[in-house]
Amino acid sequence: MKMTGPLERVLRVFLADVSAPRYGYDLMKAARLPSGTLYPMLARLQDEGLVAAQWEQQREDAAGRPPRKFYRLTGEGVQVARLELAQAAARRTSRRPVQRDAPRSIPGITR
Amino acid sequence: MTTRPAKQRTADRLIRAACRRLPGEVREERGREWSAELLAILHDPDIRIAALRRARALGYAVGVYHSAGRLYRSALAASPAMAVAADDTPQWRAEQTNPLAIASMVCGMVALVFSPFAIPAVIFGYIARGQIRRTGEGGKGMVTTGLILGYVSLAVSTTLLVAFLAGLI
Repeated sequence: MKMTGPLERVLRVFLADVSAPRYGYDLMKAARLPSGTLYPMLARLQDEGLVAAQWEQQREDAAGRPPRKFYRLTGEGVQVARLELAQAAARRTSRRPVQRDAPRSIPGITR
Repeated sequence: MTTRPAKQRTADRLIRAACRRLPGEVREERGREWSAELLAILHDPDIRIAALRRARALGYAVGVYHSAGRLYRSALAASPAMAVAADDTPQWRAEQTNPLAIASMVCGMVALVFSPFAIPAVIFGYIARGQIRRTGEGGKGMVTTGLILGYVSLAVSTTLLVAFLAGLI
């Protein structure tokens, strides 16, 4: 799994509440992604068995609205997402000192 | 639900067009999913202004349409049996003509009479060419026609304009 910014945001949204069902539009809003990015990503995660999709049961308050499809992480998905996010964070912190040190050697340039 | 806002009709149409670009087994389910989300956007309590909700819905539909190509490849990857049968240019896809290819050709034809249409002809042509390359839809000939007509019309109108301006001076 190649970690990208959008993927990281989606995983974070999923992990914020693992048990919560997430609809496409809700994910778009929470992860701030356009539908054109989100759906292919969800499809890929589904293929890898990390995300499961289900149709919602018809609710009482739905007022005749059609049922929506919701997504959530599978058990494996939760583990993989946590691991990947931790690794992504680790990569960032290990890179940071190098970036921070470089400008310091040039006097007069503050970061 | 008797009078639907115009933007939603456009969004509905885009979603249907997106579904037509998907393989048969996921097409219907995706259609239901996207239509339900579209309704949710149109009734989103967080967006107070109706026009903004409609704009959001339209943006959603455009994104969905755009994603159809990638979803199609993803569906292929999920069922290798289908990928083997479908190979590079699946039959059901080649039977479909890319809508933008048609738009490009039509704009190109109109451009012969009314030259400003050359611009959409060229733009649609390039977008359609990219989509056809990705999805394997039909309409390559139409794209070529649209692009040639568009460029010819642009060249002719530019030449005429320059000649006209030069003649005036």
